[in-house]
Amino acid sequence: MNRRVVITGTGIISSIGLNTKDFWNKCLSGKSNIHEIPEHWNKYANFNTKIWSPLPEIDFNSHNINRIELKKSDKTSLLALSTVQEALKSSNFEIKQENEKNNTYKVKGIDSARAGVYIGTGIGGVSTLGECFANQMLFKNHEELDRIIKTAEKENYDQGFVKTLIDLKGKMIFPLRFNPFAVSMIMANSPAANIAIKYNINGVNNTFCAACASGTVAIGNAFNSIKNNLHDIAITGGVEYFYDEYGALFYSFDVLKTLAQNIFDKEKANRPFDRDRSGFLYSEGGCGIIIMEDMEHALKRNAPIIAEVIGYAETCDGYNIMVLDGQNDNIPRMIYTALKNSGIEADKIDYINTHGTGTLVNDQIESRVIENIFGKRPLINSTKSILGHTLGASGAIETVVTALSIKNKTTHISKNLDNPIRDLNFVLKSGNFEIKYALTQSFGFGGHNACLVLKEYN
Amino acid sequence: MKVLLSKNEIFAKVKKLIAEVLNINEEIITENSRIIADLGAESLDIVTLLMEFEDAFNMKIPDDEAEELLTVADVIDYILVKVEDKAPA
Repeated sequence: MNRRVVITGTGIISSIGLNTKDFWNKCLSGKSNIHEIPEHWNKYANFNTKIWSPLPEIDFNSHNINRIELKKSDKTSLLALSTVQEALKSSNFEIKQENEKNNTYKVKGIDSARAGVYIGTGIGGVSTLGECFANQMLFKNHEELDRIIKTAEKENYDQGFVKTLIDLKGKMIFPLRFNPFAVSMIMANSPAANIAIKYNINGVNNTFCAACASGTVAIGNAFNSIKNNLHDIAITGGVEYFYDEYGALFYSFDVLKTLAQNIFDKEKANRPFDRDRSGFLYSEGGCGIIIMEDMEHALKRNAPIIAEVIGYAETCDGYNIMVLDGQNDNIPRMIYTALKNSGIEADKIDYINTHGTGTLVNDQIESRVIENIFGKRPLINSTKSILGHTLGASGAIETVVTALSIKNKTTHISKNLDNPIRDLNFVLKSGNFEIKYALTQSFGFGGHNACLVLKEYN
Repeated sequence: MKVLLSKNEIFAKVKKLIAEVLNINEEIITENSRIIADLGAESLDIVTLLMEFEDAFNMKIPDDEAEELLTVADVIDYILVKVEDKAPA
């Protein structure tokens, strides 16, 4: 018999809030965090888009992470570990240090063999990879250039020429040391593995790589494992960190013209489902974590239950590496399969947290599919309209939003929606809403489609 | 004028780093302590220690030279020479 699966804890680190409470409050008040891209990036490329959503400074030491771990871990692992700590605490787990040297912890009340870790990430430790390349390529060349500059100065070369060399040297940004832990930092499974190490979790440990659907796919697989009695509990979610000193990762999206342009003021540039949308708001990164649990297990330990997960489905377009397939039925098939797995009809869905990137094709196809299947009744919003796009973390963060919307009987606006491209029930003002059943969906480069169905717990 | 770290200052800094990385009490660390045999460092601890020494004393320790650093005294002497090499005349 299939077991009932519930969400008992959440953790968020994002550019608009460094914990679930702050994040949720920012969502409800529609407050984004939009800045000009770092000035020094402009030395390396001509960017079409000049805005992004950076992460605030994070005090990792307050999340059970010590000074040496900070040096040995990629930001994706640090974000994931910090977010897991919040999620476990919010799920009423007591965390106790078990090994002082390794700074590892034991989660009281978890049978570690019956607990799994399911984490999604689009690109994993790409930030560290960039640093390693920069060190390898530039360290010796920088020393060589330094010698040339000294010679040029000593021998009174043309001052303009010397200045050019000095400017060139200044553009070489790299860490002074090649990190000896590079391999374990770069590998995409590092966040999931580090969670298991930090909290002594010995069940299935999997990393899901499905671009912007990664977080949703990870949570869906965690859901299946608990439903089918493989685990009693799972730490699941998605994480991404997308910063490098040269703006190359930003440029990889910018060059495709997928990013929101400054056509209005910067606060208005990001506008999913609006007629004047121009792309998504690039977020530096983030993490969303969910503690997912067999309902009986949760009840036995008096865990706080936020919402129930009742269905999951995924399909693949098998069509194009970057463009959503609007012709075939792979997205509708995913939705109908998830509804069937949930044992409900489409008319039960009260709220849909969309993928809602703000790119031209995505919003057109997604809104059409929603109207075809659900009509105009369900509440519709895009968390990305406030937060921006956290890529592999987005599906997990949006699942948290969906669960909180059900629990709190409210949800956030779909921001900057002045001229909707379709007449749907977009949330234009936050208020009290009766949300019993909700769906959240994600689409990733590669044609990965995934959706979860959540229900009010009772 | 040369401003160099004294041997005692280097020892104190090295001792602190070893104690932190290996999670042992500073008091048991002497100049004669063998880092692996006496202080219990494992292979990844050695990698971490080398990274810490490089960062703390702003220097690069090549692999072949790192292999010679068996005791705390070896580390101190190595750093003394390196720091002296780098100091402005």
